[in-house]
Amino acid sequence: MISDSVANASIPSAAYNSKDLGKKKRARTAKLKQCKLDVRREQWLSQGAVKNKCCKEETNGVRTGNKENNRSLGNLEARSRGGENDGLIHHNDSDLESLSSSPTSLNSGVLGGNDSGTNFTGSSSSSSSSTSSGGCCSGSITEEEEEDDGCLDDWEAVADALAANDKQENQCSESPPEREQISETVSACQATNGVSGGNSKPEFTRTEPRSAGNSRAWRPDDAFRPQSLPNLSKQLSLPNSDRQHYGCGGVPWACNNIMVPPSSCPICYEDLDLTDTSFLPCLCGFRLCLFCHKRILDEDGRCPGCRKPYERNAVEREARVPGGSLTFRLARSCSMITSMGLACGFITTWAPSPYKLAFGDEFYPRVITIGIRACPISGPRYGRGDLGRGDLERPEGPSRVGRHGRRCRKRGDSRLWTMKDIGKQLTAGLSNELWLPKAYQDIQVMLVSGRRESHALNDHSREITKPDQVCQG
Amino acid sequence: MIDFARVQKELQECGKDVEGSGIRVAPKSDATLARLVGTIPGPIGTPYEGGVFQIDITLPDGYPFEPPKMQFSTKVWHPNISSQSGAICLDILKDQWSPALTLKTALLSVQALLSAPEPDDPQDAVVAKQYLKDYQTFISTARYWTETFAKTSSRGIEEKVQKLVEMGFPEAQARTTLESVGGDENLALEKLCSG
Repeated sequence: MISDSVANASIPSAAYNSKDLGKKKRARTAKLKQCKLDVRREQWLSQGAVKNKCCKEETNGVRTGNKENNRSLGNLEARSRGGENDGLIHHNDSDLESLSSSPTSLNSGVLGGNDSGTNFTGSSSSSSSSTSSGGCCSGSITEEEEEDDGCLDDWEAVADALAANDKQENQCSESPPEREQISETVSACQATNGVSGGNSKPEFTRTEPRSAGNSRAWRPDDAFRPQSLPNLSKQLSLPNSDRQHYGCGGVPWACNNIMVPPSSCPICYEDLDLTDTSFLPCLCGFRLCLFCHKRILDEDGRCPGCRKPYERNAVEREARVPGGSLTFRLARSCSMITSMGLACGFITTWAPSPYKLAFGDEFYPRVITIGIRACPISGPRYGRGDLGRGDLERPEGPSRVGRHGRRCRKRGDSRLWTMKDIGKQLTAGLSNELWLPKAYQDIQVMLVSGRRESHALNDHSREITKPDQVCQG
Repeated sequence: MIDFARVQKELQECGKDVEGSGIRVAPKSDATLARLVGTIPGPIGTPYEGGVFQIDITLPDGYPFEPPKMQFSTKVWHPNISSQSGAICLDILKDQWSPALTLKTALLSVQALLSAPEPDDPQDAVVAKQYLKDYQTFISTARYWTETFAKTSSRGIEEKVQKLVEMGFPEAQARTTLESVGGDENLALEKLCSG
C-alpha cells in the first residue's frame, strides 16, 4: 500500500509539484503539520489511562523527554520492526540520501551511508511512514476520488499504521533535530515524487523491495506484535457455540466450523449473498437471508429454525434509528450499541481523517469505511473513495487485483476487522468494548442498518450507501 | 403475496422424492399455485395403511410466513381430523408453523399425525371419545373408513368399472351406478346388488 501510494501518488503529485511550490515552503508546512501532530498526539496520550506498557513508555517518553526511555523505545521498535527493516533500510537510505543531497540526485543515493546512526533504526519506520504520508499529502487529494482501492479494509493494518504513527510522533516530539529530519524527509519525498513523476523509474525500483518486504501488519501470533494492538487470539478462544453463532464467512479462525452455510435461503430459496452467509441471527444456527429475517422480525419474530424469539434488541434498536442510521460516539472503550441485526449492516465511520487528526483543520474530514463485509474480499463497498489511497498509511500486504480492477486483500485475510468481529465482541456478551485504535477515540461511528436501502446519511457518507452498491455482492 | 418461486421450487423438490416418501403435491389447476392438492399414503402399521389421502392445500398470501391451510378432502376417522370437514388439528399448521417448513414437511407431519393421534387435543370429539373409550371400535372404524374412502378414490373410474364388469354386471349399468354414488366402488356394488 505504501509503495502503491507513493508510486501512484507520484503522478498527480508530479503535476502538483510541477507548479513549483518550492521545497522550503513544503518543508515548513510539513514542519508545521508535524508540530500540530505532536500537540495532538500529546493530547491523546495524556488522555485517560494508557493500557499497556508500551504505551506507557511512550507516554513517559513524551512527557519527560527521558532519553533512556527513548532509547528503549527505539530498541523496541527496532526489534518489532526487525522483519521490515531489511526491506526498509534500503528504502530509507535512499530517502535520507535524497534528503541530504538534492532531490534531483536521487539515483546517486542508493549506496549512500546511513548518516543518522543509531537513531536510524528507531526512525526507520517513522520516516518511512512520513514518507508515504508525505506522498499522500500531495497525492491523495487529487487522486482520492477516482481511486477505487480498498484501502481501509484491513482494520488491524490501520491499527498498526496508527501505532507506527504513534512511535513516529513520540520520537519527533522528543528529539527536535530528528523531527526536523523527518519533516524534511517528507519534503524530500515530495520532491522525489515530483522528480519521479518525470522520471518514474527510480521510484519504482526503490519501492519494490519495500512491497516485497514484510512490511505488513503484525500477525496475531507475531512475537513482536505490539501490545497495543487488539488481541485477535481472544476470538480464537471463543467457545464453540459462539463460533457457530457467528459463522465462518471468510474468517479463518472461525472456519473450522462444522456448519456450512447453505447456498440458498431456506425460506425464499434465493441465493444467499456474502452478507447473508455471514449473517447468523440465532444461536440455533439457522441461517436465512436478510430479507426473510426482516420479514420475520416484522411479524412474529421467531427463528424459523428453533421457534425461539429472535433477539429483540435488534428490532428495538433498529426502531430507535429513525432514518436507518445513528451516530454513536465512541469513547476509548465504548460500549457500542449494536447487535447482529445491525452488525450485518455497514459501519461507516464519519470521522476526521487521519490527516485531520494529524494535521489539523486544514484537511477536510473524510468518511472512513471500516471493515464491512464479513468476507474481506473486495466488494463495491470497499474503499469507495472514502479513504483515499494513502490517506492513512497501511502497511503493504499481499494484495491482488480484484474483479473490477481494484486492489483487494486476499480472501480470508484474518486481520480484517469486520462487522462480524465487532458484532461478535459486542453481542456475545464477551465484551461490550469495541476496540479502536487509540487515535480513533473520538471517532463517530455511524451504523447503517438495513441492507438494500439507501439512507440519508450526512453528505460525506451518502455516496457510499447507494443501494446498488450495497446489494452487489 | 405468495412466494410462487418458492412454491414452484417446493413442487420440484417434492416431485423428486415421490418414490421415497409417497407424498405428492400438485397444483389443483394450471392457473394458480395458490391451491394445491397433496396426497399422503396412510402410514404402515396403522388403520390407515393402504389408503391414499388427499389434502386440499390453500396457500395464504403470506406463505411461507403464514402456514398453508390444509384440510383432508378424503374422509378420515381420526381424533385430530374432523370426520365432517376434514379440518386438521395440528400445531405446525397453526401457531407452530415455521417458514422453514415446506409443504412436504407439513404433509409429512400430517402423515405422522395419522400414526400418532392426540386424543387429548381432539378436533373431532366423537372420534376422540371413541378412541379413548373403545379403542378396538375406533381401529375398525378407521380401517373401514380407510377402505371405504381412501382406497377407492385412488383408482381410476375405468378400473372400477372393469372390476364390476368382471363381477358380472353390465358395463353401462356399472358405469352409471358408479357415477351416481360418486365413484365409490363399494357403494356401487351394494346398489347394484340391491337392485
